[in-house]
Amino acid sequence: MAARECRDAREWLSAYRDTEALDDPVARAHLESCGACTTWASVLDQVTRAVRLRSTGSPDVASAAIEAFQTKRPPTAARETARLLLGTAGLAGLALFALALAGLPGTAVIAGHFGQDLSGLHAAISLGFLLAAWQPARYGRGLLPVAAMAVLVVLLPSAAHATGPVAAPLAEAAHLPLLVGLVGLLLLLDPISQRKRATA
Amino acid sequence: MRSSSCLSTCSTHLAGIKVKWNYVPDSWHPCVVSAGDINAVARAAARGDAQAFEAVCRALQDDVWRYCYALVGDRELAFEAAQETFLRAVTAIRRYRGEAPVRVYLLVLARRSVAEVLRRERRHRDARAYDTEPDRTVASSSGAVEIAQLVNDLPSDLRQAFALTQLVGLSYEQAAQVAGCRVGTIRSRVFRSRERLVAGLSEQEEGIHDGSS
Repeated sequence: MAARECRDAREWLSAYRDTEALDDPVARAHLESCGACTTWASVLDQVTRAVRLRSTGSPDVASAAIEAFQTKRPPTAARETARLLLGTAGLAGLALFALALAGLPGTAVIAGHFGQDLSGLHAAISLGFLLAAWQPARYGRGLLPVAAMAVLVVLLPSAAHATGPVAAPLAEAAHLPLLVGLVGLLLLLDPISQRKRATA
Repeated sequence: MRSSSCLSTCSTHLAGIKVKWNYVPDSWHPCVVSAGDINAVARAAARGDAQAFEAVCRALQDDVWRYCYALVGDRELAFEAAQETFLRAVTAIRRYRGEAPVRVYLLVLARRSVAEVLRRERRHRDARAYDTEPDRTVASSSGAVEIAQLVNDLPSDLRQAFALTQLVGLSYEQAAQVAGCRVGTIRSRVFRSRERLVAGLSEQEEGIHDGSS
Protein backbone atom coordinates (compact mmCIF):
# COMPACT_ATOMS: atom_id res chain seq x y z
CA MET A 1 0.00 0.00 0.00
CA ALA A 2 1.38 3.39 -1.03
CA ALA A 3 2.15 5.88 1.75
CA ARG A 4 0.03 9.00 2.20
CA GLU A 5 2.50 11.24 0.30
CA CYS A 6 2.65 8.75 -2.55
CA ARG A 7 -1.13 8.61 -2.77
CA ASP A 8 -1.52 12.40 -2.72
CA ALA A 9 1.16 12.86 -5.36
CA ARG A 10 -0.36 10.20 -7.62
CA GLU A 11 -3.84 11.67 -7.27
CA TRP A 12 -2.43 15.06 -8.21
CA LEU A 13 -0.63 13.54 -11.22
CA SER A 14 -3.83 11.84 -12.36
CA ALA A 15 -5.75 15.15 -12.37
CA TYR A 16 -2.76 17.09 -13.76
CA ARG A 17 -2.50 14.75 -16.77
CA ASP A 18 -6.15 15.58 -17.52
CA THR A 19 -5.38 19.32 -17.17
CA GLU A 20 -7.70 19.38 -14.17
CA ALA A 21 -5.08 20.44 -11.59
CA LEU A 22 -2.55 23.25 -11.34
CA ASP A 23 1.15 22.61 -10.93
CA ASP A 24 2.05 21.41 -7.42
CA PRO A 25 5.80 21.68 -6.70
CA VAL A 26 5.54 19.49 -3.57
CA ALA A 27 3.81 16.64 -5.40
CA ARG A 28 6.15 17.01 -8.38
CA ALA A 29 9.22 16.85 -6.11
CA HIS A 30 7.86 13.72 -4.45
CA LEU A 31 7.22 12.01 -7.79
CA GLU A 32 10.79 12.75 -8.90
CA SER A 33 12.39 11.47 -5.69
CA CYS A 34 10.23 8.38 -4.99
CA GLY A 35 11.21 5.29 -7.01
CA ALA A 36 7.82 3.57 -6.62
CA CYS A 37 5.99 6.69 -7.79
CA THR A 38 8.30 7.14 -10.79
CA THR A 39 7.53 3.56 -11.86
CA TRP A 40 3.81 4.18 -11.22
CA ALA A 41 3.90 7.30 -13.41
CA SER A 42 5.56 5.45 -16.27
CA VAL A 43 2.95 2.62 -16.15
CA LEU A 44 0.26 5.31 -16.03
CA ASP A 45 1.63 6.69 -19.31
CA GLN A 46 1.44 3.19 -20.79
CA VAL A 47 -2.19 2.88 -19.66
CA THR A 48 -3.06 6.28 -21.13
CA ARG A 49 -1.45 5.41 -24.47
CA ALA A 50 -3.17 2.00 -24.60
CA VAL A 51 -6.57 3.55 -23.79
CA ARG A 52 -6.18 6.16 -26.52
CA LEU A 53 -5.15 3.45 -29.01
CA ARG A 54 -8.15 1.37 -28.09
CA SER A 55 -10.15 1.03 -31.29
CA THR A 56 -13.87 0.62 -30.85
CA GLY A 57 -15.32 1.57 -34.22
CA SER A 58 -18.82 2.93 -33.81
CA PRO A 59 -21.54 1.10 -35.72
CA ASP A 60 -24.41 3.12 -37.17
CA VAL A 61 -26.54 3.73 -34.09
CA ALA A 62 -28.15 6.99 -35.18
CA SER A 63 -29.93 6.23 -38.49
CA ALA A 64 -33.14 4.94 -36.90
CA ALA A 65 -33.46 8.14 -34.85
CA ILE A 66 -32.65 10.38 -37.82
CA GLU A 67 -35.39 8.66 -39.80
CA ALA A 68 -37.81 8.95 -36.87
CA PHE A 69 -37.05 12.67 -36.52
CA GLN A 70 -37.79 13.28 -40.21
CA THR A 71 -41.16 11.53 -40.00
CA LYS A 72 -42.12 13.07 -36.67
CA ARG A 73 -43.79 16.38 -37.43
CA PRO A 74 -43.60 19.16 -34.85
CA PRO A 75 -47.02 20.33 -33.58
CA THR A 76 -48.40 22.74 -36.17
CA ALA A 77 -51.12 25.38 -35.76
CA ALA A 78 -53.51 23.32 -37.94
CA ARG A 79 -52.97 20.24 -35.78
CA GLU A 80 -53.54 22.21 -32.60
CA THR A 81 -56.74 23.72 -34.04
CA ALA A 82 -57.95 20.24 -34.98
CA ARG A 83 -57.33 19.02 -31.43
CA LEU A 84 -59.22 22.02 -30.05
CA LEU A 85 -62.18 21.26 -32.34
CA LEU A 86 -62.20 17.61 -31.24
CA GLY A 87 -62.09 18.57 -27.57
CA THR A 88 -64.91 21.12 -28.00
CA ALA A 89 -67.07 18.61 -29.92
CA GLY A 90 -66.53 15.98 -27.20
CA LEU A 91 -67.36 18.32 -24.33
CA ALA A 92 -70.43 19.81 -26.06
CA GLY A 93 -71.79 16.35 -26.92
CA LEU A 94 -71.35 15.16 -23.33
CA ALA A 95 -73.01 18.30 -21.98
CA LEU A 96 -76.09 17.82 -24.23
CA PHE A 97 -76.26 14.15 -23.24
CA ALA A 98 -76.12 15.07 -19.55
CA LEU A 99 -78.91 17.64 -20.01
CA ALA A 100 -81.14 15.13 -21.77
CA LEU A 101 -80.43 12.46 -19.16
CA ALA A 102 -81.24 14.83 -16.31
CA GLY A 103 -84.64 15.57 -17.95
CA LEU A 104 -84.48 19.28 -17.21
CA PRO A 105 -87.47 21.35 -18.40
CA GLY A 106 -87.15 22.34 -22.06
CA THR A 107 -84.78 19.49 -22.97
CA ALA A 108 -87.54 17.08 -24.12
CA VAL A 109 -86.87 18.00 -27.77
CA ILE A 110 -83.18 17.21 -27.39
CA ALA A 111 -83.95 13.94 -25.59
CA GLY A 112 -86.37 12.86 -28.34
CA HIS A 113 -83.81 13.62 -31.01
CA PHE A 114 -81.13 11.76 -29.05
CA GLY A 115 -83.28 8.64 -29.17
CA GLN A 116 -83.01 8.57 -32.95
CA ASP A 117 -79.30 9.47 -32.89
CA LEU A 118 -78.50 6.69 -30.42
CA SER A 119 -80.12 4.14 -32.72
CA GLY A 120 -77.93 5.45 -35.52
CA LEU A 121 -74.79 5.28 -33.36
CA HIS A 122 -75.74 1.76 -32.27
CA ALA A 123 -75.88 0.77 -35.93
CA ALA A 124 -72.55 2.51 -36.64
CA ILE A 125 -70.80 0.63 -33.83
CA SER A 126 -72.31 -2.65 -35.03
CA LEU A 127 -70.90 -1.88 -38.47
CA GLY A 128 -67.55 -1.26 -36.78
CA PHE A 129 -67.70 -4.72 -35.18
CA LEU A 130 -68.22 -6.22 -38.62
CA LEU A 131 -65.22 -4.30 -40.00
CA ALA A 132 -63.09 -5.44 -37.04
CA ALA A 133 -64.16 -9.04 -37.62
CA TRP A 134 -63.10 -8.69 -41.25
CA GLN A 135 -59.73 -6.89 -40.69
CA PRO A 136 -58.87 -7.04 -36.95
CA ALA A 137 -55.46 -5.37 -37.10
CA ARG A 138 -56.75 -2.42 -39.15
CA TYR A 139 -60.04 -1.59 -37.49
CA GLY A 140 -60.02 -3.33 -34.10
CA ARG A 141 -57.66 -1.07 -32.15
CA GLY A 142 -59.39 2.19 -33.09
CA LEU A 143 -62.84 0.79 -32.33
CA LEU A 144 -61.93 -0.43 -28.85
CA PRO A 145 -62.15 2.89 -26.90
CA VAL A 146 -65.36 3.86 -28.74
CA ALA A 147 -67.01 0.50 -28.00
CA ALA A 148 -65.85 0.58 -24.37
CA MET A 149 -67.34 4.06 -23.85
CA ALA A 150 -70.57 3.04 -25.60
CA VAL A 151 -70.93 0.04 -23.31
CA LEU A 152 -70.32 2.24 -20.30
CA VAL A 153 -72.86 4.95 -21.15
CA VAL A 154 -75.53 2.60 -22.54
CA LEU A 155 -75.33 -0.44 -20.31
CA LEU A 156 -74.89 1.23 -16.93
CA PRO A 157 -78.28 3.04 -17.00
CA SER A 158 -79.74 -0.16 -18.53
CA ALA A 159 -78.59 -2.18 -15.53
CA ALA A 160 -80.69 0.13 -13.31
CA HIS A 161 -83.77 -0.30 -15.52
CA ALA A 162 -83.33 -4.09 -15.68
CA THR A 163 -84.67 -4.44 -12.12
CA GLY A 164 -88.07 -3.02 -13.26
CA PRO A 165 -91.02 -4.85 -14.87
CA VAL A 166 -90.45 -7.97 -17.01
CA ALA A 167 -90.78 -6.04 -20.31
CA ALA A 168 -87.92 -3.67 -19.42
CA PRO A 169 -85.17 -6.32 -19.14
CA LEU A 170 -86.25 -7.69 -22.52
CA ALA A 171 -85.99 -4.19 -24.07
CA GLU A 172 -82.58 -3.63 -22.46
CA ALA A 173 -81.35 -6.97 -23.83
CA ALA A 174 -81.19 -5.16 -27.19
CA HIS A 175 -77.98 -3.56 -25.89
CA LEU A 176 -76.29 -6.91 -25.31
CA PRO A 177 -74.65 -7.02 -28.79
CA LEU A 178 -72.57 -4.02 -27.65
CA LEU A 179 -71.23 -5.98 -24.69
CA VAL A 180 -70.60 -9.09 -26.78
CA GLY A 181 -68.80 -6.97 -29.39
CA LEU A 182 -66.58 -5.38 -26.74
CA VAL A 183 -65.61 -8.79 -25.32
CA GLY A 184 -64.86 -9.96 -28.87
CA LEU A 185 -62.60 -6.93 -29.47
CA LEU A 186 -60.71 -7.50 -26.22
CA LEU A 187 -60.15 -11.18 -27.07
CA LEU A 188 -59.10 -10.25 -30.58
CA LEU A 189 -56.64 -7.51 -29.67
CA ASP A 190 -54.72 -9.34 -26.96
CA PRO A 191 -52.92 -11.72 -29.38
CA ILE A 192 -52.21 -8.74 -31.70
CA SER A 193 -50.47 -6.84 -28.89
CA GLN A 194 -48.53 -9.94 -27.92
CA ARG A 195 -47.35 -10.40 -31.51
CA LYS A 196 -46.29 -6.73 -31.68
CA ARG A 197 -44.34 -7.07 -28.40
CA ALA A 198 -42.62 -10.21 -29.70
CA THR A 199 -41.56 -8.54 -32.94
CA ALA A 200 -40.49 -5.26 -31.25
CA MET B 1 -9.78 9.13 -39.49
CA ARG B 2 -12.95 9.91 -41.38
CA SER B 3 -11.31 12.36 -43.73
CA SER B 4 -8.83 9.72 -44.87
CA SER B 5 -11.65 7.51 -46.14
CA CYS B 6 -13.58 10.38 -47.72
CA LEU B 7 -14.58 10.11 -51.32
CA SER B 8 -15.92 13.66 -51.57
CA THR B 9 -17.07 16.56 -49.44
CA CYS B 10 -19.68 19.31 -49.55
CA SER B 11 -20.74 22.15 -47.28
CA THR B 12 -24.08 23.36 -46.03
CA HIS B 13 -25.17 26.05 -43.60
CA LEU B 14 -26.97 25.04 -40.43
CA ALA B 15 -27.97 27.68 -37.90
CA GLY B 16 -25.62 30.06 -39.69
CA ILE B 17 -22.69 27.66 -39.26
CA LYS B 18 -20.82 26.20 -42.17
CA VAL B 19 -20.85 22.42 -41.78
CA LYS B 20 -18.66 20.24 -43.94
CA TRP B 21 -20.10 16.85 -44.91
CA ASN B 22 -17.85 13.97 -45.88
CA TYR B 23 -19.12 11.14 -47.99
CA VAL B 24 -17.83 7.87 -46.55
CA PRO B 25 -18.82 4.66 -48.36
CA ASP B 26 -22.37 4.44 -47.05
CA SER B 27 -23.57 7.97 -46.33
CA TRP B 28 -22.78 11.64 -45.66
CA HIS B 29 -21.23 12.47 -42.30
CA PRO B 30 -20.92 16.01 -40.95
CA CYS B 31 -17.57 17.28 -39.66
CA VAL B 32 -18.72 19.98 -37.28
CA VAL B 33 -15.72 22.05 -36.46
CA SER B 34 -16.01 22.95 -32.79
CA ALA B 35 -17.94 22.13 -29.63
CA GLY B 36 -19.53 25.60 -29.60
CA ASP B 37 -20.83 25.11 -33.14
CA ILE B 38 -22.43 21.77 -32.40
CA ASN B 39 -24.41 23.40 -29.58
CA ALA B 40 -25.75 26.02 -32.01
CA VAL B 41 -26.63 23.27 -34.50
CA ALA B 42 -28.41 21.42 -31.67
CA ARG B 43 -30.51 24.52 -30.98
CA ALA B 44 -31.56 24.48 -34.64
CA ALA B 45 -32.49 20.80 -34.21
CA ALA B 46 -34.58 21.80 -31.19
CA ARG B 47 -36.57 24.08 -33.51
CA GLY B 48 -37.32 21.07 -35.72
CA ASP B 49 -34.52 21.27 -38.34
CA ALA B 50 -34.07 17.65 -39.48
CA GLN B 51 -30.70 18.27 -41.13
CA ALA B 52 -29.39 19.85 -37.93
CA PHE B 53 -30.60 16.84 -35.94
CA GLU B 54 -28.75 14.53 -38.31
CA ALA B 55 -25.60 16.62 -37.99
CA VAL B 56 -25.77 16.42 -34.18
CA CYS B 57 -26.37 12.65 -34.22
CA ARG B 58 -23.55 11.94 -36.67
CA ALA B 59 -21.14 14.20 -34.80
CA LEU B 60 -21.84 12.62 -31.39
CA GLN B 61 -22.45 9.04 -32.47
CA ASP B 62 -18.89 7.93 -31.61
CA ASP B 63 -18.98 9.51 -28.13
CA VAL B 64 -22.31 7.93 -27.26
CA TRP B 65 -21.18 4.57 -28.60
CA ARG B 66 -17.88 4.63 -26.64
CA TYR B 67 -19.66 5.56 -23.43
CA CYS B 68 -22.36 2.90 -23.81
CA TYR B 69 -19.83 0.25 -24.75
CA ALA B 70 -17.59 1.08 -21.80
CA LEU B 71 -20.55 0.84 -19.41
CA VAL B 72 -22.11 -2.41 -20.62
CA GLY B 73 -19.01 -4.21 -21.98
CA ASP B 74 -21.04 -6.01 -24.65
CA ARG B 75 -21.40 -4.92 -28.30
CA GLU B 76 -25.00 -6.05 -28.69
CA LEU B 77 -26.23 -4.34 -25.52
CA ALA B 78 -24.14 -1.25 -26.24
CA PHE B 79 -25.75 -1.03 -29.70
CA GLU B 80 -29.18 -1.29 -28.12
CA ALA B 81 -28.39 1.41 -25.53
CA ALA B 82 -26.77 3.79 -28.04
CA GLN B 83 -29.63 3.40 -30.49
CA GLU B 84 -32.16 3.99 -27.71
CA THR B 85 -30.23 7.13 -26.70
CA PHE B 86 -30.72 8.68 -30.12
CA LEU B 87 -34.36 7.57 -30.28
CA ARG B 88 -34.93 9.33 -26.93
CA ALA B 89 -33.18 12.35 -28.41
CA VAL B 90 -35.85 12.60 -31.15
CA THR B 91 -38.25 14.07 -28.58
CA ALA B 92 -35.76 15.26 -25.94
CA ILE B 93 -33.84 17.51 -28.35
CA ARG B 94 -36.91 19.75 -28.61
CA ARG B 95 -36.39 20.68 -24.95
CA TYR B 96 -32.72 21.55 -25.52
CA ARG B 97 -32.13 25.24 -24.84
CA GLY B 98 -28.35 25.25 -24.77
CA GLU B 99 -27.87 25.46 -20.98
CA ALA B 100 -25.36 22.58 -21.12
CA PRO B 101 -23.24 21.33 -24.05
CA VAL B 102 -25.34 19.05 -26.25
CA ARG B 103 -22.69 16.33 -25.78
CA VAL B 104 -23.42 16.33 -22.05
CA TYR B 105 -27.17 16.44 -22.79
CA LEU B 106 -26.95 13.33 -24.99
CA LEU B 107 -24.66 11.47 -22.61
CA VAL B 108 -27.18 11.99 -19.80
CA LEU B 109 -29.75 10.36 -22.10
CA ALA B 110 -27.20 7.60 -22.78
CA ARG B 111 -26.76 6.99 -19.04
CA ARG B 112 -30.53 6.51 -18.68
CA SER B 113 -30.68 4.26 -21.74
CA VAL B 114 -27.85 2.10 -20.41
CA ALA B 115 -29.65 1.74 -17.06
CA GLU B 116 -32.87 0.78 -18.87
CA VAL B 117 -31.12 -1.72 -21.18
CA LEU B 118 -29.30 -3.33 -18.24
CA ARG B 119 -32.57 -3.56 -16.28
CA ARG B 120 -34.26 -5.27 -19.24
CA GLU B 121 -31.29 -7.59 -19.71
CA ARG B 122 -31.38 -8.58 -16.03
CA ARG B 123 -35.10 -9.39 -16.31
CA HIS B 124 -34.52 -11.51 -19.44
CA ARG B 125 -31.55 -13.21 -17.83
CA ASP B 126 -33.59 -14.04 -14.74
CA ALA B 127 -36.33 -15.40 -16.97
CA ARG B 128 -33.92 -17.52 -19.00
CA ALA B 129 -31.58 -18.27 -16.06
CA TYR B 130 -28.87 -17.53 -18.59
CA ASP B 131 -25.76 -15.54 -17.87
CA THR B 132 -24.22 -13.65 -20.77
CA GLU B 133 -20.48 -13.32 -20.69
CA PRO B 134 -19.34 -9.74 -21.42
CA ASP B 135 -17.65 -9.27 -24.77
CA ARG B 136 -13.94 -9.20 -24.00
CA THR B 137 -12.54 -9.07 -27.52
CA VAL B 138 -12.65 -5.35 -28.00
CA ALA B 139 -9.58 -4.31 -29.87
CA SER B 140 -7.21 -5.72 -32.38
CA SER B 141 -3.85 -5.27 -30.66
CA SER B 142 -3.09 -7.40 -27.61
CA GLY B 143 -2.14 -4.41 -25.42
CA ALA B 144 -5.48 -2.81 -26.13
CA VAL B 145 -7.29 -6.07 -25.35
CA GLU B 146 -5.55 -6.25 -21.96
CA ILE B 147 -6.58 -2.67 -21.18
CA ALA B 148 -10.10 -3.36 -22.41
CA GLN B 149 -10.33 -6.29 -20.01
CA LEU B 150 -9.02 -4.23 -17.12
CA VAL B 151 -11.47 -1.41 -17.89
CA ASN B 152 -14.32 -3.93 -18.09
CA ASP B 153 -13.33 -5.26 -14.67
CA LEU B 154 -13.61 -1.84 -12.99
CA PRO B 155 -16.63 -1.33 -10.71
CA SER B 156 -19.41 0.47 -12.59
CA ASP B 157 -19.03 3.87 -10.89
CA LEU B 158 -15.29 3.95 -11.59
CA ARG B 159 -15.82 2.69 -15.15
CA GLN B 160 -18.34 5.44 -15.79
CA ALA B 161 -16.01 8.21 -14.60
CA PHE B 162 -13.08 6.72 -16.51
CA ALA B 163 -15.10 6.30 -19.73
CA LEU B 164 -16.49 9.84 -19.61
CA THR B 165 -13.12 11.50 -19.08
CA GLN B 166 -10.71 9.20 -20.91
CA LEU B 167 -12.73 7.58 -23.70
CA VAL B 168 -15.22 10.36 -24.44
CA GLY B 169 -12.87 13.18 -23.40
CA LEU B 170 -15.17 15.22 -21.18
CA SER B 171 -13.81 17.62 -18.58
CA TYR B 172 -14.31 16.58 -14.95
CA GLU B 173 -17.06 19.19 -14.62
CA GLN B 174 -18.97 17.86 -17.65
CA ALA B 175 -18.46 14.27 -16.50
CA ALA B 176 -19.91 15.23 -13.12
CA GLN B 177 -22.98 16.68 -14.88
CA VAL B 178 -23.49 13.45 -16.81
CA ALA B 179 -22.89 11.17 -13.83
CA GLY B 180 -24.93 13.34 -11.47
CA CYS B 181 -22.20 13.70 -8.85
CA ARG B 182 -19.63 16.24 -7.69
CA VAL B 183 -16.45 17.16 -9.57
CA GLY B 184 -14.36 15.93 -6.61
CA THR B 185 -16.04 12.54 -6.87
CA ILE B 186 -15.11 12.30 -10.55
CA ARG B 187 -11.52 13.27 -9.76
CA SER B 188 -11.33 10.62 -7.07
CA ARG B 189 -12.99 7.95 -9.25
CA VAL B 190 -10.68 8.63 -12.20
CA PHE B 191 -7.69 8.31 -9.88
CA ARG B 192 -8.96 5.08 -8.34
CA SER B 193 -9.60 3.68 -11.82
CA ARG B 194 -6.06 4.52 -12.82
CA GLU B 195 -4.68 2.97 -9.65
CA ARG B 196 -6.45 -0.29 -10.50
CA LEU B 197 -5.44 -0.17 -14.16
CA VAL B 198 -1.79 0.51 -13.31
CA ALA B 199 -1.81 -2.30 -10.73
CA GLY B 200 -3.49 -4.67 -13.20
CA LEU B 201 -1.09 -3.85 -16.01
CA SER B 202 1.92 -4.20 -13.70
CA GLU B 203 0.67 -7.62 -12.55
CA GLN B 204 0.19 -8.74 -16.15
CA GLU B 205 3.70 -7.60 -17.08
CA GLU B 206 5.19 -9.36 -14.04
CA GLY B 207 3.34 -12.50 -15.09
CA ILE B 208 4.80 -12.28 -18.59
CA HIS B 209 8.32 -11.76 -17.22
CA ASP B 210 7.93 -14.65 -14.74
CA GLY B 211 6.69 -16.89 -17.53
CA SER B 212 9.54 -16.03 -19.86
CA SER B 213 12.33 -16.41 -17.26
